[in-house]
Amino acid sequence: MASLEQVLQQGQVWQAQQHLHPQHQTISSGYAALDERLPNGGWQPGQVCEIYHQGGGVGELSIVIPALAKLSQQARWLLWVAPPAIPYAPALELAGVRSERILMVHPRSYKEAVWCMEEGLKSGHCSAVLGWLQEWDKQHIRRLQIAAADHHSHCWLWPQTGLDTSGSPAALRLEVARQQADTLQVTFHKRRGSWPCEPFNLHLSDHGYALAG
Amino acid sequence: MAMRSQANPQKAQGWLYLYFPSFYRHSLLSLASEPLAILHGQGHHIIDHNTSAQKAGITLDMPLASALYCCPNLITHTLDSSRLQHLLQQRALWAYQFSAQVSPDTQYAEQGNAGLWLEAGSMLRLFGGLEAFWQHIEHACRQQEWPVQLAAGLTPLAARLLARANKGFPSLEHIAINNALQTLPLRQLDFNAADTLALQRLGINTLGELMRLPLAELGRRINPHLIHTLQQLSGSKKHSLMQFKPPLNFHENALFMYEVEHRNGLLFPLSRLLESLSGFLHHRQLSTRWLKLRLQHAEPPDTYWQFELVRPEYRHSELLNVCRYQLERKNLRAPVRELHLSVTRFLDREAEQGGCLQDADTQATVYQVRDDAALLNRLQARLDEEQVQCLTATADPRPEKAWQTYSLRQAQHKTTNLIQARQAKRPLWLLPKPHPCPPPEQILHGPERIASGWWDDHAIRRDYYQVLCCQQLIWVFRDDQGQWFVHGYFG
Repeated sequence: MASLEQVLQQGQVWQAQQHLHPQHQTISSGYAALDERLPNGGWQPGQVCEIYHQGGGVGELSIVIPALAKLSQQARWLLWVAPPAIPYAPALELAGVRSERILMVHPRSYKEAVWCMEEGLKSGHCSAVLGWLQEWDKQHIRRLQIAAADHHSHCWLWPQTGLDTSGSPAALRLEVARQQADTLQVTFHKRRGSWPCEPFNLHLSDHGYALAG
Repeated sequence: MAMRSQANPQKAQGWLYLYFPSFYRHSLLSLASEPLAILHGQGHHIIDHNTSAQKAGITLDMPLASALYCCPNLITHTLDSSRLQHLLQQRALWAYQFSAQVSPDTQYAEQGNAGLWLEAGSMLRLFGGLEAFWQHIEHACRQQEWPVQLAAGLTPLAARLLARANKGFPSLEHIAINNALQTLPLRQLDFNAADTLALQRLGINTLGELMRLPLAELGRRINPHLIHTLQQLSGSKKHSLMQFKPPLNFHENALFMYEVEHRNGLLFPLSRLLESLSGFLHHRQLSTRWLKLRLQHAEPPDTYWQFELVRPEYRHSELLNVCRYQLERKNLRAPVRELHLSVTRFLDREAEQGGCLQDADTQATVYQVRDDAALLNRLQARLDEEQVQCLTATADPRPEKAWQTYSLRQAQHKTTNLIQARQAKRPLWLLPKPHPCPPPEQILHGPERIASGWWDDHAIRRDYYQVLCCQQLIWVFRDDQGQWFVHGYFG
């Protein structure tokens, strides 16, 4: 009995009842097909989401853009930690993301990047924290997940490493690949509060923001 | 009789006036044996002199030429009014130890004299009565060798008149003060010459006689200004005083009984100094962005560090965080013996933005807005200025110039300019520099010609295409020479 309580206190066991009734409102991903499959019907604050992809330009950022557009209406920062290229302001504005809400940080090292993300999550002044991490360390992901959960922030991660199949403390893990110009294939590797599901197609044109015109 | 209106002991505050005769002359270092005269700032007549000049026959208002004729070895000095102002500010700062309300009086500055009002009523309990308060000040002036004439009064003007006449005494008794005032001769009341003459012609020689006259009549016949003065004297009209504010400075230091060799050893003493700074700021509703540290070593020179915050801060924990991150980036030149923290620039604290933003969609989530100072300060303290950037779109059609980054420091003064969003599709990622590539195979869209920048040295003429390559959607262009480049990714 004592050992079970210990395990619960350490947070090593996920309890379904904790997450049945989300205290904080989820925001729609902007894509019906994705909302259907996301637990609670949208992006939920307080959860780290890992997004895996091969190379740039496969729709890895588009998948969160409608959500960012909505979050950028808040008077809080969108913290971009170590973006791999320049977030192109005109494209963001076109998609409805207010570029003046974006705070970019270019850390010198992986450690510094994790620190920046954690500070951003803990501050409560970031509506979302986005990070492109060069390494993937379970301990650090756990810390980010805890910081996000404690402060109900959105956190999206694009690990620049392959998918580590040994499991992750992140609430969501998904993989994005481009099928056609405006169709993405999304695979869930982990959905907290739900079972993994079949890969499905996402039409970018479903949302007003179509990439290829 | 006319002063009956002030007989309200509950309301009476009580003022002390410190009159410094020959204020300017005493501030000059001179030998008593040498005749010295102070000249009026503009006119060339004498406004003040010492005793040896008096012995030589120098009198007030004497023209300079006559004075030099009387006393050829007379040392003269022209009154510098800005210096006098400065000296009076210093004197006010000195007096600030006796009263929380100090007002410099420059009414007599042209004659090289000066005075200070000290609010006395609220200080009596602290000093144990007016007499003790009086003696305290007198003693302090004597120590500094400043000639002073003190007087107490229930109104600022009463105190000033008595001090000028050197008839002051340590009491705030209404009747005693009134009696003393009544005996003041007319010429000591600072009225102008015409008014004094007019009153003398009426047979009035003292303030007592003047106060017995009906006010309205006096104003009509002589000068309406007299009424104002008499009302200020009785307290029925407010005497507005210029209040002295001490210059703001924070300076504290920590002395080590041992030598601190590592920067981490500085953190604990620094934390205590910051604690006291935070209290200082809190009491005054201020914040700051500039911390100055001076480290004293066994051997000079000292080390000076300036920590600048990108947003104003006053909380101890946040100040400490910033210092911690800044210290991590510094190295000690030598062991430290003493640590000084000083702040000389302050900012008024902006009204706490009671800001809550209701999320338009959920109507439920209430976020605390702004006050992101802590986050920005922390990031900037640990990272270099160019590592933390804000982003904005510009109206330039050239992809390289259609966006701009700026630092947090610049962001403070930045107003967001609304740019009409262009309708053409653009990639979410732009490469800092176009990357050469082979000609594309699968063109989805294009060409779109962008030719612009004829007005500066960075004119471009390119055809842009959206290209699908290995399931990646890429933005490429062909330049004038037919060379292909990757410029962005539709991420």
